[in-house]
Amino acid sequence: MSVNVLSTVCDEDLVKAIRLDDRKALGELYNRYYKKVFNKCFSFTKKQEEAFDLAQEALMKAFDNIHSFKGESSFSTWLYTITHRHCLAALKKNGRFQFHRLEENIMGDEDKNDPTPASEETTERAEQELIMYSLIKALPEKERDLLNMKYLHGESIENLQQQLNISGSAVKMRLKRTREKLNMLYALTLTYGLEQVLDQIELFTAG
Amino acid sequence: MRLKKVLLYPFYINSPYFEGYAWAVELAMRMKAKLQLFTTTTLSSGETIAQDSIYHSLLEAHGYYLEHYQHPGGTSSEVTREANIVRGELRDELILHLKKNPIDIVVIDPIFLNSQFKALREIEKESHGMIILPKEQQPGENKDSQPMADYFYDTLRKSELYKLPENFFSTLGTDLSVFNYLRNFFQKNQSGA
Repeated sequence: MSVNVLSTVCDEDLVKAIRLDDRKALGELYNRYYKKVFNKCFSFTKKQEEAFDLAQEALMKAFDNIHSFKGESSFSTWLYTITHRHCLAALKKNGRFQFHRLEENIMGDEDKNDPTPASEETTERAEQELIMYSLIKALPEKERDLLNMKYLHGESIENLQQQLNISGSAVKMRLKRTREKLNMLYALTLTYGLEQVLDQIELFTAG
Repeated sequence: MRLKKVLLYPFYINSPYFEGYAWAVELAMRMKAKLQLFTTTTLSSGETIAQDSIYHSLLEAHGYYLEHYQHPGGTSSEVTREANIVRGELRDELILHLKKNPIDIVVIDPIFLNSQFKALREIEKESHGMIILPKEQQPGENKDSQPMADYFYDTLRKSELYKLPENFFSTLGTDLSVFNYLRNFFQKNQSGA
């Protein structure tokens, strides 16, 4: 296919052409997405150097295995899922993703007698964890510290009461409000996407 | 002790560097080496450029590699590419980097050479080996009309090689027919020089 024609071809047809060893189709499809993949990685890492490393790895992972794209979703969804999972795995590997217990505890505070079976796939769970991690990271410092103290470091209400110099009920109230805020942000993320929500939080925080 | 060889490709982001980049990636892949990509946010014109533009450009350069170099069914994911983006004058920063970090081979693009000819001796001194790519190499030239291994080795044959490690050719991939041809070619050249 000529370059001019390629720009009008949909992603999925480009994949078909790539399977027939059309190198120009490969170049076209890659060029459509490399910036988006980089930006997605950057939304996770907030560091350009790391985002570059992850982006090139994710792109290679996808384009080296393009023959395994079955067309069950759009190409962009397939590529972003690979990118997403690659970022998650990298963050976990680097030990920067340690809020596993936090999510459980947030749910657990209200639902201790209602254990939910862990039926979701590990990857889906990991994605939820990353969203939660990113949202917590974006919270105002006071709220983030409170959550960290309670759920990451396991501080008791009594300890928090002393450290913050407020009553026990005030600690519980702050925790409740922060959790509710987090839940709301989580729901917004599922609707509008993590990047959008993080941008909005940043705007509000800056204001 | 480093197990992997380290190659370095310096470039100005505002010059057409994709061709040299792609060849350097191909060399790194054949040597199973790590490739450092070295540039500065200061352009040859003296202006500065944002880092994200450099990262975008590097990713785009890899698209060029995939389209023009990588053979069908091949993979470049085993090549570790590391971006070194610094501030300041490229020549000074490059020499400083070479002094601090042992580099096995520096791949020099003729376009880079035009502006950094005076630095050549220093680059050679500070690295363990240097390859200057041929000037007549043009983007897109011959690549699509001949097998990639031929194009790669053809470019290598036309390149100027300095101080290359003794085991350079023996680490160069598994294409023994081309390898044997080239080794003889270079040995003949060396003895004639």
